[in-house]
Amino acid sequence: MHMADALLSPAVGLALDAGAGALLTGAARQLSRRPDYQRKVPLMGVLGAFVFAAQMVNFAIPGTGSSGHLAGGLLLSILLGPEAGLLVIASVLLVQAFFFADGGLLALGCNLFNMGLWPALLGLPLYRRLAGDRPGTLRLTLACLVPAVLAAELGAFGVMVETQLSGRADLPFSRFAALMLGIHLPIGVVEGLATAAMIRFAARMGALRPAPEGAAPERLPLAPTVLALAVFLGCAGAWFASTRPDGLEWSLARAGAALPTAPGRAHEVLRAVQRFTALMPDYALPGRRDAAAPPAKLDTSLAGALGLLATAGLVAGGAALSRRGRGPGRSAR
Amino acid sequence: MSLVAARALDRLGYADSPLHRRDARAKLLVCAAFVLGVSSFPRYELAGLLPFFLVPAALAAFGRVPLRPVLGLVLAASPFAILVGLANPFLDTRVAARVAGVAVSGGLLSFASILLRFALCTSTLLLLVATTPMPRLAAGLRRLGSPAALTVQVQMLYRYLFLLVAEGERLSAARLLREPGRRLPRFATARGMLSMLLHRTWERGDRVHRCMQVRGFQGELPTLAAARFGTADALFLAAGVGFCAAARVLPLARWAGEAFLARGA
Amino acid sequence: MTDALSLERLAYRYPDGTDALREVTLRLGEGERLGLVGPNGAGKTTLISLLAGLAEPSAGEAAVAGLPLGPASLPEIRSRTGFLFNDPDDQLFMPTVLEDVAFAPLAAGAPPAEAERRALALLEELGIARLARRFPGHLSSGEKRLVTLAGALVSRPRLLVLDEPTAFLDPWARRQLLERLARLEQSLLVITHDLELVVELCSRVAVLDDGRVVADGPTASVLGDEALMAAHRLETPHILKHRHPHGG
Repeated sequence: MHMADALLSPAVGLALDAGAGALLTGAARQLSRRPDYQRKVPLMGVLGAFVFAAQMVNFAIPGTGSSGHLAGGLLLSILLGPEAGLLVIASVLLVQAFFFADGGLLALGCNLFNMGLWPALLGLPLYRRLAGDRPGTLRLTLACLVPAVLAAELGAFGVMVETQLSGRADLPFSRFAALMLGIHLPIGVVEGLATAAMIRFAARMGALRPAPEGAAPERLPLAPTVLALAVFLGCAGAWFASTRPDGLEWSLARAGAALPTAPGRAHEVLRAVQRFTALMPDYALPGRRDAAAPPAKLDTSLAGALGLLATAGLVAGGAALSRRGRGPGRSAR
Repeated sequence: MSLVAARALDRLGYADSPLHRRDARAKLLVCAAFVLGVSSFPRYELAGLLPFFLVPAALAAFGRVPLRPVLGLVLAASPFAILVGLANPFLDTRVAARVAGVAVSGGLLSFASILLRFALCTSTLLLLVATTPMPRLAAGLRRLGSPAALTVQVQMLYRYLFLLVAEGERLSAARLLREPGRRLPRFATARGMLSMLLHRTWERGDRVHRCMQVRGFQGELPTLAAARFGTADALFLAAGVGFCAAARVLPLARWAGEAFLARGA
Repeated sequence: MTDALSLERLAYRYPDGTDALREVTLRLGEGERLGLVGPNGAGKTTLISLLAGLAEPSAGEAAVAGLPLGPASLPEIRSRTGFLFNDPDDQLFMPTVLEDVAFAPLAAGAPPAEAERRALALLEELGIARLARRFPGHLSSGEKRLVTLAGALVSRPRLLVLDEPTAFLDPWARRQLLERLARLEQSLLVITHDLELVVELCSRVAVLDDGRVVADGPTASVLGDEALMAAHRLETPHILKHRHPHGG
């Protein structure tokens, strides 16, 4: 399901765009240095087009009366590797937004997180671990099923976080979660089964060539990935804070209830820490904090975005420093 | 089917009009300013969104774009936004406004706001494509700083998109001829069809790679000297961004209403 | 000057041990046009792969456009030879016609302005300058074929290798292409099932079957030999039947 511009606030959209942009730039740089990049250029292009062609082939899902099709994120990652897979999915999302009004300009980052990141980041390593060297049919199917379902559910979770944090739609969390996660379970299962079938076929066709000898292991570049994850976790955290106004105070109150004899000191310290670390106390902009109104959603997401940009800056700086420490020529692990 | 509309949109991009001649970068940036302007309004906003409709209207007029494929695609893509927005009227029943004596709930307002935003953002993006050939959009993205490996992929994907989609359609048509009683194929049938598609795709990739090698491909798709960013492009960019900023900050709708009333009085 | 193409007992064996080409000896003089015909599976496609340096021969010698075939000379061979592959959509991978035609000079390091000028001049020469800004996917089959020809001719090659150039073409587009090819000065190696094309375009023809050259000679006498044609699952073209009744 494509996130639309209409459901997003600029803060959420831009934060995820920035994270996705950093990730894509890192993946592009790493990919174009690979020895087999030249060979992959046309293959990536036609496989991206294959994703669209595959959507012409809708099939019936037994027992539901509905239909499904191959989305292709996991398949692309397995066939092409994580960096190339991510770039192909990004180009697919761009063309879907441009030609089919699926998604949008501001929503590109969100959609890359929801549909591209999880297969490349988690799906592929999980698949490799589960499938092993020469998997049989059953093992291969399982090895595709688990990451596909996981990626679909994480994608659905992303849609929920982005929607709720943006505050344009008003879905209650529990019902939204039941609906989204429920819908994405069969979607993930279908994706897993279809991917397994395609991988079996690709293996027969000789398309699953091992990586060239001596090449760096195929992983997403470290620093941009950490940065992108920080952005996403920042959004999820900001959203959690907004669903539980005063999340820290709430947990403190419970802690206080458990320890009735020590009310003041710990509370004071933690308050001070919170005041010191949070740029904006309680995620509300100065001057708009009247007691009756809960913090406005826009302020929450803006504060969240600023906070996570700061986190991201720190993480990126740290990663850059640690890489420099390991010396040049060393590829990200 | 949205595919028919998408093909129409693709063809329209190669037409000629004052808007078609503008630099892709200018159009992309105006589009970005537009989407930011629209999405930054608070959730209950309706009146503030209305002036933004002038942008797609102007794009369609200056680009001489027929509305049919654009509207078709907007409608085809709308279910998700509608579905998500549909909960608003049921959850937020607080009376937020009175229109001609009728109470309107906050949820209804925010739902209507989502619909307006959706219509605005999607139609503008589609009009961008209907007035700019995809290769020039990709080149524009590249010159705005997108990584080369990504824009090369956008180009390659676009080059083989409709070709491979046509193969998918032929397979589906052939399947329908063999089992006309069945609207959708069984999973086993679909698996065969997808395998066939993947096989043809892979072979196409191999053949394209051979053709590239023979013509001296070194891993980069070189580009010719790009078009200059002229005065007209700068003016277009300034006007577009300026209007979006004004429409976001100033109460244009109210002024228009007051002017209208003053003239009537 | 040396021959445009000279193959000496060239052979290719697949990794699985099947022989695609057993022994091919063939010569193509400067400015000559040679047709190469043969049934499916005769080894025609493999031969093109070898000439283009996409596969390495398992035995034999080859000189293409005056250079011995090998990894060191490959870039130079590819710039002196134009290849037209079977499906124009495979070959036209750039987003506009102009960029596609300019691809080879650009990839070889020519400055963009120079590459653009050469590409435009060639499109002009072929009478298709109006297509310069078009998207290759929107062209007709005939137009696509002419653009691939422009893309191959842009580096002014000595030799053109054409693989089924008339496939996908309607009779009118086929006629246009044929007249275009007939006016070229380059040496041509035309690999095709379209025997009428060979009759009209090539003075000489070689027949490839089962990885060997089984006949090589003037077009009319080789293709007019109905017994030879039948023995190699080919058919004498009608125009030759009229011109040479009863194999005369």
